[in-house]
Amino acid sequence: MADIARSSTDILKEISGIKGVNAVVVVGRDGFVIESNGHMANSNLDMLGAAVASAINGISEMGKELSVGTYSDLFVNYKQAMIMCFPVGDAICGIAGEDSSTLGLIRHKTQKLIPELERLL
Amino acid sequence: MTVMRDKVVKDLVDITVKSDQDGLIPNFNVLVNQLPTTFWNSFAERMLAAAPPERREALEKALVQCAYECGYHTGYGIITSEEFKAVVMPMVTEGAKDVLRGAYAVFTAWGWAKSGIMQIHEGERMTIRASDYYEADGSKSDRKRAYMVRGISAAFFELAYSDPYPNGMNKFRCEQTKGIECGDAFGEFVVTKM
Repeated sequence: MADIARSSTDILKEISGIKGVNAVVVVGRDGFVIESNGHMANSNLDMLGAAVASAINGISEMGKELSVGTYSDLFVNYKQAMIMCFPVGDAICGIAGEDSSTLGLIRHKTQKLIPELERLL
Repeated sequence: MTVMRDKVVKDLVDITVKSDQDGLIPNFNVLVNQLPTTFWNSFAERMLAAAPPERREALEKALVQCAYECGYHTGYGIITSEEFKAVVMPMVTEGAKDVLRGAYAVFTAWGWAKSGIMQIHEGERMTIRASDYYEADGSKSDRKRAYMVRGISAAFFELAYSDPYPNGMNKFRCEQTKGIECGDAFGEFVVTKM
């Protein structure tokens, strides 16, 4: 069977389809939403993008201050959502889920998808 | 810290603007106006419809050139304005890249295009994505028609990385690779060296 070239849109759809994931955004460091898929019940994806970028900029600054290198992922658990972030080149992939019960599954499934997304972007 | 576009947009929409007796708004070191997007879109559409098929491509290039020249000169006015210095410059920590981020945030705040930098190789190449831009409004088309975003993007990149103003023109070009008006989910624009 011929190998069909996948786009970043396909990858985001696949991430969004993982059990427990509500939304996924790829944002620039300035909070610009490059691409997104899904939705959040309590917010919108532009706000998620801005918040994720702001948090990662702070985290990156902390890494510099402590001389511990660049961040490789970030996980935050809230009462009504969990947020995960991964670097995608200079950009950030932010994943919003319902709670941390499916964290292992999301981590496992995104392990291959994030590098693929980075290549495509 | 870098330029956070949501903060720029929020700060800029709070600025009250008032036009003079000629309908011109003196802000950001330049004169701007406020007209319905249908005016600008129908302006381009009517010109293209009136052109013979063999002149269409040249006319499209001319429309990009108009936006490019406007973008270069007014873009310079904007990034050296008191408003830009007050709102954007305090967040600039990454030099020209951050100034560009700020410029696209202004572009978004003014309602031209909800756009930003997707990828950048400083001084070499830049990819812009726009999830909403006024040139995509109206009927679907088989031709990409975001002439303004193309021209402005080449101009912004030159202001950031070419020779200092006003000697940096005609060093970069911008091509539109995707268009909402053609059925794509977003517009995509690639700036490269000439």
